[in-house]
Amino acid sequence: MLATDSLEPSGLGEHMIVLGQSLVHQYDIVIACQNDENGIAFLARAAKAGLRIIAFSLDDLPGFGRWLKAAGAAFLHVHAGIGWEGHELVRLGKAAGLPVLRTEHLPYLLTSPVQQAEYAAMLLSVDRVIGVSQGVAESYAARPNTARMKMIANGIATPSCGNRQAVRSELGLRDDAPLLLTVARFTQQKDHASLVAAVPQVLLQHPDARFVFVGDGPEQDRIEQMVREQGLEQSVTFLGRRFDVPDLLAAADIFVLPSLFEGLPLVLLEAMAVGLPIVATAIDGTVEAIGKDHPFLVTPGDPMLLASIIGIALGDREAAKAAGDAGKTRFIHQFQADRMAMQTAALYAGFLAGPSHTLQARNS
Amino acid sequence: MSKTRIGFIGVGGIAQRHLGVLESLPDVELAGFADPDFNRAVDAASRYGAKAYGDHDGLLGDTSLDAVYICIPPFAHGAAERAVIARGLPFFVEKPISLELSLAETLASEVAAAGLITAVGYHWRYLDTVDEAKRILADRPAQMLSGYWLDQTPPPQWWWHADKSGGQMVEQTTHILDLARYLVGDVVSVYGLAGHTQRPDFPGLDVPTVSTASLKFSSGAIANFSSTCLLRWGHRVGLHLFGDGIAMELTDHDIMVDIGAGRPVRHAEGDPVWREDRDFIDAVRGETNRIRCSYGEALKTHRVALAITESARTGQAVFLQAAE
Ligand SMILES: NC(=O)c1ccc[n+]([C@@H]2O[C@H](COP(=O)([O-])OP(=O)(O)OC[C@H]3O[C@@H](n4cnc5c(N)ncnc54)[C@H](O)[C@@H]3O)[C@@H](O)[C@H]2O)c1
Repeated sequence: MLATDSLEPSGLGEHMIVLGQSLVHQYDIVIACQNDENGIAFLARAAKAGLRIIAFSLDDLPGFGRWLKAAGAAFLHVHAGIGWEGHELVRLGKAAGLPVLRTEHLPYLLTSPVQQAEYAAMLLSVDRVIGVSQGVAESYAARPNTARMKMIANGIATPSCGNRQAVRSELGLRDDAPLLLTVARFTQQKDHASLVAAVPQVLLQHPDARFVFVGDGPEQDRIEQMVREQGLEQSVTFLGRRFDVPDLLAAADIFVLPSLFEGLPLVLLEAMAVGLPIVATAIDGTVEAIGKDHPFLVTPGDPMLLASIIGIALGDREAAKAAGDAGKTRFIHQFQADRMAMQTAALYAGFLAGPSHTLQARNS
Repeated sequence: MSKTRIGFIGVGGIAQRHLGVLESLPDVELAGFADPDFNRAVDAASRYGAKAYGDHDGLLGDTSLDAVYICIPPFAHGAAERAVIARGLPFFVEKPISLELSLAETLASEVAAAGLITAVGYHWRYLDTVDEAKRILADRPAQMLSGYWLDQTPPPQWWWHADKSGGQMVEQTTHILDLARYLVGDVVSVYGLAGHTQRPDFPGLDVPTVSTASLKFSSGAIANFSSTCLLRWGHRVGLHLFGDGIAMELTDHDIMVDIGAGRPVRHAEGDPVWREDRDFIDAVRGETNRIRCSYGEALKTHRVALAITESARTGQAVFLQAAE
């Protein structure tokens, strides 16, 4: 049972689906999420991927607990975005008598003492915590009262080959006009504002550059307003939520991720998998994905620097291609879904072989 | 206790009715849902920890299913049943079982050849009031019947079109025809009439808005059935039966038996759909097969309903072979 109560299971949700798909031959996997609009949309994607789904209501978590028992779940694997998520699910799993695993998808960000105490209390009910990157694991290891974490780096299935023309013709973009793609929810964390602030300087050298933002979120209105105020509507395009990521990646020349912090961003892994050059901020999760030797890393929150590195990446196509190729090699060696699934399965097996061995996972 | 794994093909209104029953049965697991309206499949799957599919082929790829519920509109029958039969799975299918008689006949013979357990959603047979009526009629057989489906027009657009629903006799009054057959026996001849009134608030509706049928049973009993969808409310749905010194009125929730001592009404108890689903599941689980309406039985009722439509179209009475 893979469950989340994250309100916006985007990257985390994809992680759960990839994990579920990779394990479905060994385990009878069910994906659980709350029954609001975002949750159901996520469950629909999980169902399309061939996985069992169950929705729960935050108003009736005991009902979900009863379902867990009735369904004979062998264990509960909770996926948390920010550290305050998932506590109720963890307790529910324990109360249902199940081993509970928990994956942290972001670094330790809890600042309020109350939240920190709640986190520590929640940990008492967890059998094992997993971090999706070294950075995540270390940020937790540095805290008092946090369990030792098992690091299992994020992995993704290799994206299918996209069609370069599809999105470009949709945007009315000439074949040689540079397309800079950012796939990220509009939240403070992703810091689109710094990227928008960098756009005018990029346009000085590359007037036909087109910045394409994919995703939605609470900050979208503010970012759109910034774009209008600076008169950048011709150069920055908002595409909203999209599910044609392979085509978007194929259409792009550079992937830009200006985040302030990350766990281990799946979108970067996707860009790497197809050899797309990346310009990104030098923060833990991102550096872990693309490597500290990556040529196009910038300090977070520095639009001037971001603009000049984008300029370099656009100006030196050779260097950009080399960086893209290196990213692809790195992806193949370190970030494939199969490896993540194997490591996770090994962890599951430990629990199933342990005291609760009567709760064998059923083959589907 | 091993659970019987059920898949659904079609997850609309009537599917929800069966789900409400099946979810309460401890020996049933709802495993998968297929609907071209994928959101409906997802909605149901996410209530039961099941899988969702956009079509029946996806669902039937799950080799662990024990049986299937087919809850699709009248026009959609055929491919789903064939695929289910090809996999040798027992199935429950909603009435009416097809639009074309030839399709239902082919499917019936394939079901028979495969020896499959089947059930059809003529749930009136499971009313406890119908049990009572059957007991009474054993001693005082009905000589004349009046059947009614006097109602509003159902909202789904497919219902409005004869080439999608088959019209009211085939889609709704078929319940009453089936009940009459269950209580009185086979039908030997039918004569139908149909009329149509245009209504601006039902654009494109081409099914008859009024229809009647006269029937003769092999027992010698005679009957008249009336259907209309012209009302804006439910007026009367039921069957009246008359014999020597007895008048009986059945609706889907009560029975009135008049033997000249007042008009006592008894309310039906229990849920006929629960009994219908329970019987199907029991049969699938290898227990006694108490299913009251198999595919072959439903075909006989369907033949009568289609004959009424046919008669109304041609103006000729239709004589049904008593042997079948
Ligand atoms: N026994 C009863 O009392 C009773 C009551 C209501 C309806 N019904 C019968 O049930 C049938 C369905 O009626 P409803 O009210 O549920 O209709 P509905 O329109 O609410 O639902 C039908 C569903 O089937 C889906 N569907 C269509 N073609 C399909 C296909 N090929 N494969 C899978 N799914 C498909 C549709 O997308 C829809 O979700 C009708 O024949 C109706 O007469 C019986």
